[in-house]
Amino acid sequence: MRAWIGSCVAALTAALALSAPASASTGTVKLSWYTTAIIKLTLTPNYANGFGTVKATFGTQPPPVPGPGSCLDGCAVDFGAVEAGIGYLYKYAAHLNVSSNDASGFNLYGEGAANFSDGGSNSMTLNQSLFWVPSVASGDTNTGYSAGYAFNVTSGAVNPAQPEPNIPPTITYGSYPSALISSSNPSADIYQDYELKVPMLAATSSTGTVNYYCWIVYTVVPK
Amino acid sequence: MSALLRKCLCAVFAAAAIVAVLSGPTRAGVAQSQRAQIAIALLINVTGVGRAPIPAPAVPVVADVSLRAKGSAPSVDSVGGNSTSTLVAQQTQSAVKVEAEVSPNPAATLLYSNNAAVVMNGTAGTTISQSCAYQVTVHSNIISWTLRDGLSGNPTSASTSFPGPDVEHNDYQATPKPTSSPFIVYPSAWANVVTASNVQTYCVDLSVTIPLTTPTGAYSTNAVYTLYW
Repeated sequence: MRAWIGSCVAALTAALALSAPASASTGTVKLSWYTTAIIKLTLTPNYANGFGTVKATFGTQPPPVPGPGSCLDGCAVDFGAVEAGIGYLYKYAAHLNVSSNDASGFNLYGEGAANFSDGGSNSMTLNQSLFWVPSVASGDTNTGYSAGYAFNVTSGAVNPAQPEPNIPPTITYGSYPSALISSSNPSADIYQDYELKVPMLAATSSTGTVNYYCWIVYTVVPK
Repeated sequence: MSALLRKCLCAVFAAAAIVAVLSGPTRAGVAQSQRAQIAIALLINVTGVGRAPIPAPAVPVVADVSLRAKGSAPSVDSVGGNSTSTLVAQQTQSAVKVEAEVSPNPAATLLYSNNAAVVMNGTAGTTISQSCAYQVTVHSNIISWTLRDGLSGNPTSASTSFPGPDVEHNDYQATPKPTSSPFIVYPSAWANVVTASNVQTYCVDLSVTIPLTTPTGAYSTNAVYTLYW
């Protein structure tokens, strides 16, 4: 946008300079333009010390234990070793920083690229197993029973095709789903914990231990 | 001697009282132990009396920059722009991988539901219901077990909540009971659903009386079932 304004001002200056000898009169030039909003999304997994998995428990909470695929301020949200039929909370899962020049605010969407998969025949239905929970920058008091909201699998076009364990996917939307957050401010910090309710048949004696994964894709759009 | 005995008895009763308090709703009684616990997520989408914060559809933003030198022909404003000057609203995406290493749990088949999450939609000031919203099964060969239930908290949105007892349940095997019962909310002691034996499955009808003043939003809680014997 700045480059456009600079170009416009330069062109305007040149035009005025060239036109000056032809006429002694002066006038005004009205410039008007629409410009695209600039918006930036920064996603930070495991955004605070104390991130990790806590078994859903009433009363005194056990210490969080992150899985091996997680790391502070990055990597994956790795619940680690969990058991079928049990619920878990993952603390400090995702920090989303949105900054925009659009005074109208923004909509934040968050959807799964696909259901949980082990890359083979085993799967877990995403909106029956993974939930997001509003959290805070620090001092998180959520438990595995805190109010959570399901992640749905997108109806948009996902690239690359899933399941794909290594390449972060993108979603192309024909129409947007319901927003996770609809902000009237141009910028915001959003903090989320995740809850995992593991289906009882996600792993059985016949399957043994199963490594599941999915991708949650966040999209921010100016209003 | 008797004073010493009284002190000992007092200490024992005090310790028992502390244990009972700390155990909270997860303890059904002195003779029973908790064997399994499951939670079913309840999501109640409420259309309130206030404004509905339904996100507006993304509107393409167009750019149409016109510069006209003095004396030149006036341009024609164009809302839609043209193919060379139109820019769509910028969207930004980022993805995070979520992983879990799931191992079998022999106890997972002891107490389970056919549905991990229930979604209900309603308007403030009305009562909504869902027949057999989920089933709860106890799969045990124990002669006498007890199933208890309750909500983990009041149905809560990003900004507010409404009372958990406004959510009622009717648990039955074949025919619904004449009336439903309001859910107990943690940290109150869980309510007794049934004492039975062996394998049993219960349908749970849900009804929610949404208070008239409830603002628009998504309200979430968990229906928690705990098995004891």
